Amino acid sequence: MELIEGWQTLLQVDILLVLALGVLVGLMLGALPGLDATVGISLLLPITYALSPLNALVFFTALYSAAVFGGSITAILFRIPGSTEAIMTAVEGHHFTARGEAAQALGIAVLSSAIGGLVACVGLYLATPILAEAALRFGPAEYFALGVLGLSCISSISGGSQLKGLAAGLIGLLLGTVGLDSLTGAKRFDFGTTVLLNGIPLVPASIGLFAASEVLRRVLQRDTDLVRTAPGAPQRRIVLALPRIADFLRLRWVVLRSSVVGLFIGILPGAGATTAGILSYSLQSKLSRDPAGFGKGKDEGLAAPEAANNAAAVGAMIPLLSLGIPGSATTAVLIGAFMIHNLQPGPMLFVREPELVYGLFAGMTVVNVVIIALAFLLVRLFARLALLPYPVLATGILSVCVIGSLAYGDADAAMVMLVFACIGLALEAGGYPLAPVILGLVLAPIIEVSLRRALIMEDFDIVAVVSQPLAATILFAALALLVGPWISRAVLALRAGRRGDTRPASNQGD
Amino acid sequence: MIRTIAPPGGMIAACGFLLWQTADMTSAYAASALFGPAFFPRLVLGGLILVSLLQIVDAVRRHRAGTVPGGAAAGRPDVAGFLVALAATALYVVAMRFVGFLPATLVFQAALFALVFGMRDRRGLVYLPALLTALYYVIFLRLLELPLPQGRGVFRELSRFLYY
Repeated sequence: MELIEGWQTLLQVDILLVLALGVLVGLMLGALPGLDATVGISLLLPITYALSPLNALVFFTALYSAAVFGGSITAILFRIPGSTEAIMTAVEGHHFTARGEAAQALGIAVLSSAIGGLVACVGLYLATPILAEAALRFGPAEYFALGVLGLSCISSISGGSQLKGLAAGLIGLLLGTVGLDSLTGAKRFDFGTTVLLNGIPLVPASIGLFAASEVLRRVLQRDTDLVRTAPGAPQRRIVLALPRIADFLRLRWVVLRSSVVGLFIGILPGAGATTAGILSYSLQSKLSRDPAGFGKGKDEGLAAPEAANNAAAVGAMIPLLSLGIPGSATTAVLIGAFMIHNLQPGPMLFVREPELVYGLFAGMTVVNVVIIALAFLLVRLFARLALLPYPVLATGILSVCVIGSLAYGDADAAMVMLVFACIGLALEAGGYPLAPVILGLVLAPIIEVSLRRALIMEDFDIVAVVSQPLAATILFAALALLVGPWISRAVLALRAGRRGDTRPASNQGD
Repeated sequence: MIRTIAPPGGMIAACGFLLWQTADMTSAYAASALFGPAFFPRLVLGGLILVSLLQIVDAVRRHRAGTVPGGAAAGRPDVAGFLVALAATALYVVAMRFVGFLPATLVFQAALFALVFGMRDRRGLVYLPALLTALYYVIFLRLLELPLPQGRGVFRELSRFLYY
């Protein structure tokens, strides 16, 4: 009954217009590096004084979901993760652009994102209180285990050398320890400066590592064709065809599985959509029949993080609405929007304002449909950007890298971006993959803080930490994902060897 | 082989230096001396040293077996262009503090077009930089109202006149 009332409340012209506007603003903010939903909501909080509570909250949730998808646009086209949620999309999606298939990649990304969001909405409708309660059972040991699970994908995103991938991941983890220790306040690797006290800023670091380093590499190697010319082809060409429904349906299990993973990670307070994207990419790379194709422009590798990060964005709303606990930085800022309108998120919200809550649920469902509609209108236009002359693109990308870093912090953040561009260039020159560095940087605080907290709680008994049932299960899964492919490869090699031994014998017999 | 083992070798040296740095990471608030602020960095550094050693062993093994992968033939790199692009971007960030966002952006774009991409005609020096700077002005300063650097002195006045 309340569900129907929620839909009736939503289906009004003014609310739908506000929703569409939220999606447009979110797409734009998400696509611009350094700006994300958190910044957007903070910037626009004051203007919603004039709106009704439902209009304001629908606007912000639309902006949030659209911004999470928007980050993938520049990630696919120029390897600039518009937001941190799109890091894995940048790793996988830019290869499509190099093959002239940017429209295909954008199509997969938008469909996966929207379906991820819709699946999470179903979870929102059906299981908000149950899921929120389950998430509260996650303690430091379980968060530590989740972080380790995220790291287990290093082997699949390392390209040729597993050892170099592992080294890159460890470099990321080490970079994640720079700054003040969050448990004791001790300074770590600050080298006497104040710039590094807050740690390595993730946004400028990822912009530098992926986008700026790519431009500098192309300048260095005189490689100024963003879209590679096919051998024998007279000129560069891009395919503007969107993915066919039949092709996309092949990805249905990938998208569904990633959506469920994303939904649950989103519910966990502090985990966020970035972790969800990384974890689902990791999981998919392990479950795929062609794990070697990951990191080279594989549709599964694009669909999995896109579905998961949007599902996580919706999932983060569950603890906010049902318990009053923000599941991510963006939902923490979103609490401000509730408070501006004298609303207190939490269990009583369902009792006092059921129309608003279910109207918001309906709004989050419609947002995903609007994202598909608007994004499909714009996808071909975005894809054509890849054909602009490279000097114009390179100059624009470097400027946007600087502006994005400035928007995130100050001139120091821009310098961090530039330093990471050089680090990225040096690592790529040495054959080290870049994705594990960011993976380590994102997961370092989760792994370190959770491990140390868990150790304090268990009186520094590491066995007690890793043997907690839920944590042990997740750690076992991480181990299985990490070691499983090696074991299966060894078993296959052994079988092949035996066959090799028996065949000549049978031949002899013949 | 030297080229293959140099990066992990350098990594081991850097890790040694950073391990020495962790000696200063102490806190009176740490609940345990072992699991204090230096615990995780030391753990990671230990892992990095181990992985680097494995890389060296792997390189030596491959060298002995004669299975060193050959690098792809690359064209002559444009080192000058790369250094100019890097220096111009660093100067752009620094100059913005003094001359503000818009003048610095205009000059930065023109410098990249002319010095890195060799577009020394009116299109590269005037039209494209002006067009791109105008685009950033509309998106970042007018629509998003980002607090980008205003510069100092007369440039600050100019910035305030244009966008604040």
